[in-house]
Amino acid sequence: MRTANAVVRFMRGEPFAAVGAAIYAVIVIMALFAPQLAPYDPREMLRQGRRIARYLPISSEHWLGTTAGGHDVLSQLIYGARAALEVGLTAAIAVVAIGTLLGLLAGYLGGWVDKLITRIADIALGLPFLPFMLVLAALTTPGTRVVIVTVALLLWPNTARVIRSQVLSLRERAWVEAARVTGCSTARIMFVHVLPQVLPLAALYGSVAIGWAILAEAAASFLGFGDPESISWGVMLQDAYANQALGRGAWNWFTPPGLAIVLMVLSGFLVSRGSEKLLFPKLAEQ
Amino acid sequence: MLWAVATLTFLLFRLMPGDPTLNFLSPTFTDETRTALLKSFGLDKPLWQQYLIYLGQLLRGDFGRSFLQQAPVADVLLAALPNTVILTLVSLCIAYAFGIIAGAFLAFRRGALVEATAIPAALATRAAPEFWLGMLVLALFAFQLGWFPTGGAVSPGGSLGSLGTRLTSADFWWHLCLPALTLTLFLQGLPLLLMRATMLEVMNDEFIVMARMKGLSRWSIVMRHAARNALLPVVTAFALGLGASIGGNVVIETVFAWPGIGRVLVQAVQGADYPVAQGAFIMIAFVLVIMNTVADLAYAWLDPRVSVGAHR
Amino acid sequence: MTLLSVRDLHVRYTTSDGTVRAVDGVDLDIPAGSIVGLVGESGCGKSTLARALMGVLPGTGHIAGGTITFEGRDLITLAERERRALRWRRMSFVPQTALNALDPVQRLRAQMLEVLCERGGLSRSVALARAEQLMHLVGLDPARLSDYPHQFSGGMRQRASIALALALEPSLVIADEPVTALDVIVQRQVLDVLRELQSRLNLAMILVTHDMAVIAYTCDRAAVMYAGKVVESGPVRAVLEAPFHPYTMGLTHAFPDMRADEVILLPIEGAPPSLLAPPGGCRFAERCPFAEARCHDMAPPLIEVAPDHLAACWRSDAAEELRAQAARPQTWAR
Repeated sequence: MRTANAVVRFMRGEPFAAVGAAIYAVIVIMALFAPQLAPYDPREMLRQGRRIARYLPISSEHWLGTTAGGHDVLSQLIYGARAALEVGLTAAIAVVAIGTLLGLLAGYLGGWVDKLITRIADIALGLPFLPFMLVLAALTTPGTRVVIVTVALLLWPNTARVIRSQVLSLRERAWVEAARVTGCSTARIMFVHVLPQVLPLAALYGSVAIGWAILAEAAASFLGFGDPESISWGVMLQDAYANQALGRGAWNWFTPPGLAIVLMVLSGFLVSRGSEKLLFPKLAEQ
Repeated sequence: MLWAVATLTFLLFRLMPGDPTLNFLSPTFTDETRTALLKSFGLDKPLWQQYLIYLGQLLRGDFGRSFLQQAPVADVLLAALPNTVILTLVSLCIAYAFGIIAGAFLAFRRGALVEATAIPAALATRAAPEFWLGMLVLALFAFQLGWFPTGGAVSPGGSLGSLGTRLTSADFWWHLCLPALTLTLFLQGLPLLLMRATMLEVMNDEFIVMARMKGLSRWSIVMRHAARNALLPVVTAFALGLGASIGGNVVIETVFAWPGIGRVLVQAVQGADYPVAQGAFIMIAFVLVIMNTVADLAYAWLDPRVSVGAHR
Repeated sequence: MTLLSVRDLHVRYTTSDGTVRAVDGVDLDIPAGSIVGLVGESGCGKSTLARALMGVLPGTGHIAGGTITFEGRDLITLAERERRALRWRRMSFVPQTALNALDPVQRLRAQMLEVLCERGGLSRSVALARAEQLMHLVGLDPARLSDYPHQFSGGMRQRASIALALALEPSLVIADEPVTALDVIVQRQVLDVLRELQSRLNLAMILVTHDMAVIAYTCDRAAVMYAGKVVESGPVRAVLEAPFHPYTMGLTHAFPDMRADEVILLPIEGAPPSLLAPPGGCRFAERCPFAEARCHDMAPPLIEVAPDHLAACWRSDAAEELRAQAARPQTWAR
């Protein structure tokens, strides 16, 4: 009961975070209940009489019209949430896990470990994101796996850097000293004592990382390096572009998937901005 | 650093699972042709030897020859590079000019309504996929309204010519408009939010309070003192943004068929033109690394606390 | 003649916990050409008072009542534009830590010129000459005008701040803890500079500090603040040697603590009352060893207890006897 009250108060005080969380919730619901919510099977080529129902405009049967292949746009949009969440969550977890672990090690152990990790981080930052993903996709197999790997490999330094600073300051605190003195092993101190303290910060970066992953997947799909079998917002956009939807003015087709991406990434930003005050009240007081 | 990137690229292209040559050579080549090609590209030598040759070639600026186009890779890249650079610079400058002014303005004039609309709007532009923004812009201004061309850098029948010709050609600039507009739209969110945030921080600094005590006008305080201090991180962001954009432009260049380095890379990868792909990747990565370093140096130089030593 | 006269000034802050009555009915007089020390522990409202006099309060603060009469005009009723015209020209400010108070990306010369040309209307060449003059005045090498703030040592930075404060020849300089952040030897130097300039230029000065030693060394007059009110004021010798208010008596007695290295200036146990909801009655009564029933019930007014000497205490007539008791450590032990 108390936590519920705290959450409500938080939501009222931080409208940005509340809106972000609401958008997330909608997307999660869309993904979980896609079969129930979507009016049609997204892969089904619908027909109008004897012809394929291509490029139908907005109507009461097709709230967002149909694509060049006769698929219902709205259904594709709803199912697209699944791909978005899959890619987003997996990549975010990977990035945050790697970033937190490396940041923890670098910050706590210092010395050559720190230098080594920082060097590797510099290299990761020196590699351009999209080109790397492209090349990786071309040399292995295109698909969501490549997107996730690229995100995990190239985007961890930002998280790591921040975690590292926090660990550096936590390291000097009295209770860490106390743990050291009572003979706790380094590993134990790092993972049992320090790690839980930095997790909120990691979670913050996680919510932003989901957004980056989705943008990456969309870009990859658009360039033709995504998974053509899946139904994702990026694939929808690529489909539209390739089928000259722009020239035909099929706004109903290519606007919604982009908007969906915007909303999802935006909600990540909003939640992280709003949560800062909750997780770091000291920062707000300054 | 550069060395590390170059080595990584080499490893990337050579050590991927599967025979890289299979990906990049047409299967219709006969065995002999294939062996001959391998030999001419030095792919039959042991890996470490290939690596040394590779480094040597890089240092001389020799990127090899394109598989598909009958030209040295370096030429292909150099023809495309200025297009990317022009697009990026123009867009970045406009985006930053706008972002800085708007950000400072927002910090100056605070108000619940203004902030509730402007901040999410700026965030939304950052949250949008660049190519989707490009698609919207294309659909509206090129297809629907017909004010601008639908792609490329020249009208049909024309050719690009040298850098000088490009810069003075009205046709070129006309073609530049839409991609630049899209890129600007996408990029302005960062400087806007950053400038606003740093301004707000700076406005609370003691020397601003002192400025009020001195009775300086609000204008003077904001422009001369607050803005100058707040600009430091924004300038750094500009340098970093330049590096990142060169690589990130890949999608914009594809949407608008803009003949820049990004598009060269995509086409090379799609067409299995391995030397070009490698060359383009290295070039993009190098620019990124160089700009990162420039950003660090720029910050140190601009902030007198860092550039001029501590008290004597 | 009185340069600045404050009557019943109220300054409040709005916070998430409520309204803090930082300055709650303060009366203060600053005679022209005198140095008045404003002393009290942290949180008593002295810095707020200083900023209210300059008219530069943080966004959450506002003046809720009273008058500030400066050179014959009530500053509170002035429009902001007129108020701004007075700033730095007639009254200026020396901050506590100049490192944060000076623009870090501007050289000292540029900051001087800004004040001299923009606010003083001088031409650039005249301003440059004046800047050098000011540097000499505070004992700094004019060549250092080319330096940035972080290149100066603490003491020199404070001198630079003083030079800036004097640039437009104001009649009043308010210094907020000007030497607190400096070590003792440098403190002396800066205070000497202040004193010398004050007498040479015949300025009035308000020196805000929590350190009685600074007051004793530098000031002509002293005003003691406690919990948002002035509890005693008068010539510095009188206030320090023959105080009428128990709080002042506590401040002026230093008892070396065997356990600590430094001398503790405040033997008074306890803490000041919360300024969110100040108590009725004398605010010091909680901690006062001499408090009686009426002290808790009614707030004593600030009245003249000796020529030119004001104090707010119900037991001021018994002051001599109370002073004797205050001199003994046992009185303050709880």
